Amino acid sequence: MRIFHPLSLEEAVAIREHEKDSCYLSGGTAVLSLSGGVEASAVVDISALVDSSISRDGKHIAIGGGATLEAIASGPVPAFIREAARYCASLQLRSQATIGGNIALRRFDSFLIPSLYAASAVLTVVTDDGRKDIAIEEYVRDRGSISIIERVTIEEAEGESRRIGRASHSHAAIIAARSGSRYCYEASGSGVAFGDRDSWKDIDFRDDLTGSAEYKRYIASVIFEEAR
Amino acid sequence: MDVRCTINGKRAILSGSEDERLRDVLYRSGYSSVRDSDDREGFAGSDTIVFRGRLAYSNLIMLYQADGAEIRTAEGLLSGRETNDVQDAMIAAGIVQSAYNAPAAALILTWLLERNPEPSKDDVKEALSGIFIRDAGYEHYYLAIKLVEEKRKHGRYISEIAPSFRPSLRVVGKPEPKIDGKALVSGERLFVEDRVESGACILHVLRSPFAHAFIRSIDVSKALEVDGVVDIITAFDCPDVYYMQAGQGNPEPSPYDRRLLNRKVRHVGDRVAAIIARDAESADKAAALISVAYDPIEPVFTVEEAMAEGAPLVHDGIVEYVSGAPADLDEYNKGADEREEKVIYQFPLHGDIRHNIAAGAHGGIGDIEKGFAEADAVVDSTYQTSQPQCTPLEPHVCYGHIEGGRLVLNCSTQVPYHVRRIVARICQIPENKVHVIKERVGGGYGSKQDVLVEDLLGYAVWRTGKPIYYRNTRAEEFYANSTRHPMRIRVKMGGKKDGTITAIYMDVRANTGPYGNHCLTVPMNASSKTLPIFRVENMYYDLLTYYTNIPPTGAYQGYGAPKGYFAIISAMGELAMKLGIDPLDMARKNIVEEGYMLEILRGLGEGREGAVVPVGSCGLREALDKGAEMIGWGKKDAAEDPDWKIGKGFAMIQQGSGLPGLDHSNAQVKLLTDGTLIVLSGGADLGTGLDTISAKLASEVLKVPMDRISVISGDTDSCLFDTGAYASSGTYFSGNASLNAAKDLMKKILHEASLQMGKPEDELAVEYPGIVVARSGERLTYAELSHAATSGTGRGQLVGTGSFSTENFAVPYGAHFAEVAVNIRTGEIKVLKFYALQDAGTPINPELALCQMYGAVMKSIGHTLYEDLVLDKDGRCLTTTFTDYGVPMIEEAPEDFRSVLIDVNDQYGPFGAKSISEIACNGAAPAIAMAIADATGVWVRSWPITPEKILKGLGRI
Repeated sequence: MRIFHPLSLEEAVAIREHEKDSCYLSGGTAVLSLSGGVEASAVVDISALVDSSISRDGKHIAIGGGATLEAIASGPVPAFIREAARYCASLQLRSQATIGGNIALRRFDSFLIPSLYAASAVLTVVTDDGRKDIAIEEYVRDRGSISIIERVTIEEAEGESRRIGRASHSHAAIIAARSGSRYCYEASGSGVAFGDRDSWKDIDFRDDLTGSAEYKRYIASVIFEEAR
Repeated sequence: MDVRCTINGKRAILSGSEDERLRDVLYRSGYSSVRDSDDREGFAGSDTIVFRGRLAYSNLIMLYQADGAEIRTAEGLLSGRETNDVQDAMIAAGIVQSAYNAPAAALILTWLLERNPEPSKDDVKEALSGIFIRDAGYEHYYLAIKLVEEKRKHGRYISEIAPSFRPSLRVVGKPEPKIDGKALVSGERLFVEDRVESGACILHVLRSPFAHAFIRSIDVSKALEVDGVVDIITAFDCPDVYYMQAGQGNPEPSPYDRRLLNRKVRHVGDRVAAIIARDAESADKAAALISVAYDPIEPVFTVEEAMAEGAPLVHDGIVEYVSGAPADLDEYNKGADEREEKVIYQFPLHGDIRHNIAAGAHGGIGDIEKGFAEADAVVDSTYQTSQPQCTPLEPHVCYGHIEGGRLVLNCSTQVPYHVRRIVARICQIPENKVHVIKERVGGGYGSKQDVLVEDLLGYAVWRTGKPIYYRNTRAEEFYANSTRHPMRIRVKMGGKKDGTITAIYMDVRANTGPYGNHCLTVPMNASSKTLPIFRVENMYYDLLTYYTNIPPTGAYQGYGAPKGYFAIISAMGELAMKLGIDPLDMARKNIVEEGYMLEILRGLGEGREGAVVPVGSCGLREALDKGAEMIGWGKKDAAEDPDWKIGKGFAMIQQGSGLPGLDHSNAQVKLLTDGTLIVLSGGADLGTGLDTISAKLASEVLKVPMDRISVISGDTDSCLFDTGAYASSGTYFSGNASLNAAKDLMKKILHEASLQMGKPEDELAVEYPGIVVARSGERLTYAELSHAATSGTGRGQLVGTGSFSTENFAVPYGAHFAEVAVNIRTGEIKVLKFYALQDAGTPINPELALCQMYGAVMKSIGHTLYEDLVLDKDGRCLTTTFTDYGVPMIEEAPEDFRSVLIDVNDQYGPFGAKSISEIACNGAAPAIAMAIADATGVWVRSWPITPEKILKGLGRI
């Protein structure tokens, strides 16, 4: 594996422009894991370049793209986001994995994407065309983007996050979050939906190891039902 | 590249390639505590280090990232050879068992206590959230932390570690440090991988992409040209020797239906070629250059597919019998396919390979139809179990080399003597040419009874003369290793309104996969370990085991009993529900008790008529009564959230202690010249503490302190024969052999002392710590005695020899109780409480026994709720990682989890001991299934019991 050590985020983006079979290395828990779903012959190490701080200014919370899930799980962020960070059940993984990496993987069982969407997250990303702010759902939908998540900004909010999976370390069938009228649903092997309470209906549910399409569709439909 | 860093407080330079994983570099640099259980998955935690102050998986760090880093490994916990207080507490608590990742766990707990000297239970759970413990469960990790705190505060342990038994004995029945505990928790080089010499070749197996296919041809010519390739073995040039990998006593109750490599592949992942190369890169290159022409055949995966009329046949070659061939065998073989391998039965197992049947059996007592006719209600349900994998943290591994013209194998095995016999057979050499050394076993759980890698590695070494190392990848563990036999079990049970069970019928259809490893014995256990717990006059079972093209099956802790119990106790619960009576009342009314004559055993012999014996020592009723009281049986609990329903369930269980009439153990105890002792045990300690048992037994009999006893075990050159550590035989068989050897030595000591002291033997006695005392008051220490015996005028070194075989059964009994909460909206299941109560006779190592119960229950909870080996339509395994497969971690452990040892003294076991851990696999599935039914009214009759199945049962999807 070839390893690049850029001196700036801009340089990192430029390297990836040229190295098509490459990926960024932040925490490394997906890139270096055999089951991480990332295949690349080269990595561009941005771990020393991305801010890992979490700061709060009134209702605004800025989370560096290099902040670990463990820092988020114990950080000054809304409770439902702290809970979502803990969906990564291993302390070792949480201590290595970063928020930027978790979002950038755009997995359908991402720990954080639903909660960050619920919290109206805006990502500051570094692109080949400079920095820009985009909504998290926009970033997730653009699966080909090679921009780097420099910072995640969220608003203090009340919310709720849920994970339905067989065991703490197994793949979740459904991860969902809501805050106010913003809902996000992820279904394993199927897709992600952003929008209102019924937005889960936009997902093309598929069978996989976590359960049948029928099961996941049902769970998504009831996950935010009040207790009977 | 060279990386400068700090390791355990000292400056260090690590060398390797930039992208090499830190784990590999650390291990290569001498930090052998840093192991690998998951091939860089970032799951099992054996590779945990403290990296820049945080816990991290070293497999997920590249070497260059360690530049300037501060690194801590478990080696840093030691002061010289002294373990730290956390490691000591882990040993005391009984959690250092197979111990492959015990050093990593010790590092984690030490790190936790440095940051938080008084951690809560949640803090401990958090710290251990990234480490997979398969052997001992997680409960006593909390205890270990508590012991450390107590020792730091009070200078001693205050909490009870485990109850003590038999006050008249000094060490048997008492918590005592496991004799190899310090070595294991320190991270000493004790495992097979630690024996591999620099420059050794590696073995790489090219595996089949097809579930079922003939190999028309294999061209290895281009592969052999690859630099670094030493040799390639295929089906076309391997020995034409048939054998069986099951690792059972000889003659095996499993057919010889394979060679090292076969001309027909029978599962995805089956062996196609064995590449011996100087390094992995050369082997990979060679594998890619091997050209294989396959003729695929339609596969069968389920029992239903295998038993269908006209189903493709997994084996269709010539059938032979070593003894007991049927009269029509020639006729039977007329249609055999010449391309196929033979199937050789050592004796009839009632197989019929032309119908995919590997083995069959049936038997019973009474009049089953009469029993059903007498019943007020009858249930007739079918239960399906899955294919759990043992997932030992140390994968299957073997290293071999030639020394002095002999084949030397370093093995992680439960059956060193069977390995010797099987490898000698394959290599066509006598057993004296093979030396098997059982190293520490980083988890076996049955899968290392099966001789799955030693056969091929042994032959490769013998053929090439090269030192060769082989280790399964984690993925290979899942698709090319051994698993539980999936079973479809139909149970018909009838009962009266007063709770009397009038008849039980079991129809067991087992799936043995491509080869017949344990094809009779494992499925037999579904009946032979369940029916004898019932005092029912009419019972019958039918068993058929089918060949299919799923990944291989084999032994797994509990054999077929966990599946049988899932079916039979669930059926009993369903019957009780139908009759409107309490299932616990029904159990109490129908269980056996001491002295009850077990007529059912006559039809439950494994390939022979079974011996009818009475029930021996039996703590079953006490376990049921005590467990019921603990869990508040009969009291209905309600959750605050109406979505969550709470229910309770239980299972009564039994197992065995080895195989009376089949198993055989031997041991020796040597008196050394300074009066200390070495026990040479044929038994294979898998981390369960068998060596400690041997030492304790010798200590009691010979009245010497534990620190004067060392144990060498499982070395086929040094130690005498033992059938091996399976079927819960360790304590009963190997233990009794050690006990008899110690008794023999005691006789010899008294005889020798009599001659040296000039006193009649009946005037001599032995006192602690190893002193012969004459009635007249004269004293002779073992050291003095031994020194004289081995002097120039002595009569020779004193060695006690003992063997053990028996027709007597020492059956452990127990009852497991579960309380679960089920969310009727989402189907989620939480095991709130689990109480395991077991009669282990005299638990020789009570703290280890408790932890083995926790570990076995956790495995069983895993099989019941989470673990699932999934194949696609072509037979490819989709679950080749821990995450995909879904093992239980600390978060899955019941919040209220207790193991209780019922005090029963057995008449046949050493100092009254019986087996402990296999039985503990039997209770969780039926207890949880019953609890779920109690909570929701839904009986889920297949493993794993998932939220989806519950929702289907509730009619929500």
